[in-house]
Amino acid sequence: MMNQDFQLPGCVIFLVDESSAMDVPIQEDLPNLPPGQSPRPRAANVSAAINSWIRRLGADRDPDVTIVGYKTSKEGEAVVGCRLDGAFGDHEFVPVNDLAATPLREEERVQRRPNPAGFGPPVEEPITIPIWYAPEPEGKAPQVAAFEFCAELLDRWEAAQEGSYARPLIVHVFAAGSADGNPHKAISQLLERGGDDAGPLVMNIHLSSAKLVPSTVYPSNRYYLPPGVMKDLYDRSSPLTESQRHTLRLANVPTNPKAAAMLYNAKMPDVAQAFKMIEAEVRAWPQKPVELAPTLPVDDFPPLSGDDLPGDGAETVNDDETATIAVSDRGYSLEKSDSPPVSTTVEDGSDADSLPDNVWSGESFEIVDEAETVPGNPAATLLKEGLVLLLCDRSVADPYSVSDTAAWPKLQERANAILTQAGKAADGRLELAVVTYGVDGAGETDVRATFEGPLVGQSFVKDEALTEGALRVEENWIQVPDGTGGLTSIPQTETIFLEQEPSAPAGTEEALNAAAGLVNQWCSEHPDACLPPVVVHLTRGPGDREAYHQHCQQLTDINTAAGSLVLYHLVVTEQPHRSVSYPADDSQLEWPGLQGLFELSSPLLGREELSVSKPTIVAADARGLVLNAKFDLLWDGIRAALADDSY
Amino acid sequence: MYSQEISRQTPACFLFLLDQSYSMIEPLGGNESVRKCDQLALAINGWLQNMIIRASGESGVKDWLEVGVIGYRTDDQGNPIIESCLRGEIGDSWLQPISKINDHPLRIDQLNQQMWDEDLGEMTELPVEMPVWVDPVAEGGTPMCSVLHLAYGIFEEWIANHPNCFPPILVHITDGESTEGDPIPYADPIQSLATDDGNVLIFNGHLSMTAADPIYFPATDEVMPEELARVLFQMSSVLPDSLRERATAEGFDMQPNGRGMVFNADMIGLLQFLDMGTRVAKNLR
Repeated sequence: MMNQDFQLPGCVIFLVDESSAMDVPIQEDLPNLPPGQSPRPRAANVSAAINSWIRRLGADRDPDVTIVGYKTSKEGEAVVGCRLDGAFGDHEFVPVNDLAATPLREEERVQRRPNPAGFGPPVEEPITIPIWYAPEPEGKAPQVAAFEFCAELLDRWEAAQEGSYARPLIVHVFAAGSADGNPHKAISQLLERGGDDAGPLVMNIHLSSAKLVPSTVYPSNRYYLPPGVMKDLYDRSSPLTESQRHTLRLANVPTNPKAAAMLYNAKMPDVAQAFKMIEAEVRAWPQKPVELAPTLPVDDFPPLSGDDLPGDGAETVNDDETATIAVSDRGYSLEKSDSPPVSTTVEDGSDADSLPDNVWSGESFEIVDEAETVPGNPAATLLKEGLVLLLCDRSVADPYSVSDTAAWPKLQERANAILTQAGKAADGRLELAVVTYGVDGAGETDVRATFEGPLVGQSFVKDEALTEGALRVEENWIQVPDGTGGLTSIPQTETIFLEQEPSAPAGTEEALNAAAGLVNQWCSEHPDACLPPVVVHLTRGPGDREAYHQHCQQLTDINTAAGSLVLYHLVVTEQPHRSVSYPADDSQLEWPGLQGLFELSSPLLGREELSVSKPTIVAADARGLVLNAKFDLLWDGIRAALADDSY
Repeated sequence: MYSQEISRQTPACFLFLLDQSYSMIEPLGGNESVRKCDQLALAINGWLQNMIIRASGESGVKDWLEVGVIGYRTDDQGNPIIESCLRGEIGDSWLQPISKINDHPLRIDQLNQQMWDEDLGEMTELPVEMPVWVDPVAEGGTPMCSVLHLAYGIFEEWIANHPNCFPPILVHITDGESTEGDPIPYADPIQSLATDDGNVLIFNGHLSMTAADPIYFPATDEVMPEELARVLFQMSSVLPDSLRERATAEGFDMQPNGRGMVFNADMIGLLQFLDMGTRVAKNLR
């Protein structure tokens, strides 16, 4: 995604609120915070993100960067200016690689990583972190002065450019409202510079002011934003560019064409993701034509992978270069860094920064789960395919009476809906299998492990073949909201694959044997699958808990190159129980049997992306357990996991 | 019972109580792109527009209905904020005649109405202009007892002035528990208010953040999955036969003794729930 239209890179201005509002702790849930510790102030978190960004980009890029802070003095005077200090104290913009080479100072931090033994408490390691920006918040937020200063800064920078340049990026991070008047005019003037598709891109990031309120991320429909700050911010933010939307799409953050580069009530993971998007944007810029050898000694970085040759339009720097510059023409992916990574951790959408300079020191943002990495398995050799097996419990409490509370009819409907969705979104990557179990009229266990109807006899069916292979197709008219507060009817096609009678309760042993057998067979035929096999057990709750736990092991013991088997539970209870979706703990489960199911349920695939795009519904450690609700994120999660390069 | 005709001389009375607590900013029905507060405002505005259309005749909008829309929440000190969601000229009293509501929308918004196009075989969008009376609000806690207490007073006064009319209907929409303690002692007195045509009806709609299984018009509290559902069940009136029969005629699976309550609703559930109120309009003359 090279910007072929420009000869020169643009510049990046971090415009940062340094008012006393930034001295307040970040307003978000930090489940990994050690007890007794409170979250660090906003300024510390934001400066950490900026410092980390500078370190990452400075490794192999050279566009001009500056940090403009704004606050007021005790006397109430606006204090707005470039905060680059140390070796560059009198400079406005500095090439980021030069900046990276000379930090203001270095700080010792303690980083918590998972215990290498695989169990036990996390291990604490001291590390040093370079610092370029260390704000001291005070006073109020003179936003008008800040934006006017930016305009003047840009005037000077643009005058110094010799040739066409990529659009400058202004990343505004703030918590407080403007104290020196409405900044609307100042910002509009910035947005309107240069006409429609030229001029700087302004991104506004408002930091969370309420822990429980979810962040508003890249909104595209101005109508639905509440009047006031959010609508104003929308008007003051540039639309996301195509390349930015592409980057976000790769991270499974869907955006609409009119999405604004704006975050409201952002939590640090949202900020981290936005910074990574800016990073990707900058990496797509051309390099400066002047030779700039990075002054970083090469031993700080492990050797680059094989595709680091300056093929795809990257400029090679002079021969004494100590680190080549890699530009991948597939565009920068948020999932995996192509630049020399200083860690081997898997990119995690909820992990603000997966590199070992865990700048949220003392408050581990996300304990990286090394079990999720695939050591020794370069992504290129794993094939994007996977197996999803539906294990269906046909039992009901009383098969001879027709009851509204009977579980199997509802579960069967869910199973058919899940298969319908798989067929509709089919792209040839997934295979499906179904195993149902019950008892027959003679009381013998009845396990069926193949499809019926046109697909009769097949155990594994490709997702593309599902729709054609349904037992039958139902066309119903359903009511949906019409967008104006009314309902409208639309036709809906449902493909039916299962139409089996409810049965008396059956033991789980044979069903689990059959499921394990199928999974093992598929895995041996697809050793290079990039997705671990997924089993979704649709059940009304295990009759014999201990037996189920025991027999489950043959499933949970299955390990493939892509990871261990993922076991989900979709439960419809026959006794009333509150609905629970993707829980991170078992506190909402009222019965021991359900708590047991929680223990056996694997973490939800795709939760890294889903916990960022749907933070109120999916926590970072959500499990694949749904009770008395739809498993609406099953396919979203699996597709996110398939898209993830690290699988 | 519940058979009085509805006319300008014997108008009906609807009072909406809308939860405006913090949590209403959460998604509705598992759809992260729509928030409960926004969808609720959209639904209420749609309902008002619908009733205005039904009340319209050749000589304008007939005042067969008096409507109140009250939002309840708390400030950051926990003090209840209870105010009419109808603003400006129609914010001067708790109940407003429908013609006056028609005359004073807050503004007109352009929305896209989705419809199924048979010929194209796909959904199409048509821009429509919709009047807006209620805007979304989400802040603070849930002072359910205070707002029910207010509703009691409003109905008591209305009934004193309309002793022969179809009984007032209270439509309460919430997404969570009362933060002021047990609301049942405040709901019971409301249900004991009555006109000659029957007791006041209370309908309760509960909104779910996730794609939870909805429960429509339950007949027994044995299927209530949690305490909040049991409380709302107790606060909900049994549907009068006339309303139940009309719903059944439209294809709903209604049980005898089904109550005017929906639990774990998404937008579809909310709209179908609000429709139950409009069935009263069948009594319109």
